[in-house]
Amino acid sequence: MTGPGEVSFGRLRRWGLRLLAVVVALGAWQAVAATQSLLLAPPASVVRVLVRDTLVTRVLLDALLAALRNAAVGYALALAVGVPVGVLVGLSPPVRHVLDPALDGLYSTPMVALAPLLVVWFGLSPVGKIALVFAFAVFVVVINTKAGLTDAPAGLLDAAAVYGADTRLVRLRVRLRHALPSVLTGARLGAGRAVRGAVAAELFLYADALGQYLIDSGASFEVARLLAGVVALTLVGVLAVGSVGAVGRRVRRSSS
Amino acid sequence: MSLSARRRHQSGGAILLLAVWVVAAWRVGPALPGPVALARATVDLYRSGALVDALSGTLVRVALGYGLAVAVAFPVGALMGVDTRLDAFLGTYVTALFVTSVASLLPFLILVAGTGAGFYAAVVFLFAVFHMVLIVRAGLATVESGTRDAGRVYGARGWRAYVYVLLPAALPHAVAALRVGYNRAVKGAVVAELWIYAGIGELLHGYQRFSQTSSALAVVLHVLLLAVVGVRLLRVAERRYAGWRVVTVR
Repeated sequence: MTGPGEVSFGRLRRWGLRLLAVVVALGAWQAVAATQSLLLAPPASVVRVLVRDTLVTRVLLDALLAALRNAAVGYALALAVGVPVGVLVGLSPPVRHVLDPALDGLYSTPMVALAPLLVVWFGLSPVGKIALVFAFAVFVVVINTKAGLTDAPAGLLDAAAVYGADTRLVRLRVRLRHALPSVLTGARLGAGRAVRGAVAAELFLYADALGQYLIDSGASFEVARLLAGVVALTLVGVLAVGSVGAVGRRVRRSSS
Repeated sequence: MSLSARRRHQSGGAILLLAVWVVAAWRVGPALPGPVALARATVDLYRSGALVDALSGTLVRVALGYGLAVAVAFPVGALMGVDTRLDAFLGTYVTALFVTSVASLLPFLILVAGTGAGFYAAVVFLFAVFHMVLIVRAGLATVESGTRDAGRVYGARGWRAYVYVLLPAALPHAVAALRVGYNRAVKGAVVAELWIYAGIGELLHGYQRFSQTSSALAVVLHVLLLAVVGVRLLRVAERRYAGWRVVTVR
């Protein structure tokens, strides 16, 4: 075991190396941007545009919020459908036998290929975008919920039986309780995929504010604006996954 | 649960799903093609050769970007797994790019790489490489100390510890990385082709324009097959060569 002093030294070194990595990346970016001014904007101007478009003119902020609205609705639907379906598939062997191969296949399918069909089905409406977000997010929720229910260790159920909990209802409660962390993992991963789905919807269904922002920036070679959009989206994605993760940790703590 | 019960459930479920599909297609009308319309569209697609051409093109693009991603991800992930300093340094880039939405980079990548083979390679590479790095890294970083100690007792020190203990112990993760990377690569190729209306993307956009939903659905199903068959084959390899350690990748 390492003492507290050594731990903090190791941490210090790790953060130092991370800082170094950031500095090196910014330096290299700056150097490349200086020679390739048409194709790459220097980091400082990306930050400037990012601040301007989110805090001053709010073009980017509004675009992000509009896209996030679709992401939120699609994600909520994915949870509302995904968790019950996952529970059903996890608890019932016949349902599992029927749906498992399909779920497995759909989970690894490139959902973005559905985009042209969604345009035919829903026209140029937010419904199509929400449907794409749903398709992106739902299967990871179902599969993680199912996994949590099917891999409840026999020892846990035996222990419950030893303590007199042999009724079906209590066994079910033990399994559901055991599945909770896995369900929360599915919810967290689903949030990330919902944001990705919303981005894909903006780019491949029809360009609303956000898609327009990215596509126009690219078409007019405004690379700083384009990269500001990419950075903002990355932050949004991290924030979405992080906040769902934080909610999950709180749920787990309060239920343990 | 016996095998016959599983088969019975599956055939029963398939019939049920087929019935639901037929009824739904009949109620919705031409927007949702039924099984017969879909089969007819598939036959037409094969007869015209459009699908085979598009799919083989996609496969080549997947192979190029995926190959690049494997060539980069394995050494980088291995270095990160065995050296904590490199892990902290390189990990900063990998996690930053891992969380970046690659799709939002499409307008940028097209400026930098144009619309040729370089664009596809870049998109597929970026889709696949970071997942693979992180899985390979995890494989080496999570080798149990008991395994290392046992190796040391049997004389595996220095380079021998890497070649005879650490790398074999990470094999399950390596195969899992290949599987997840392939899946990501297919997604990347489809995204790239949709973006510049080539191959599969060109077909899909074309069918969208004239609302040929049965043909579009047939193409989507083949994209699904392309992804699933590869993932299944790699999963078989995983069970065959790396069955002693189950890797859950989420």
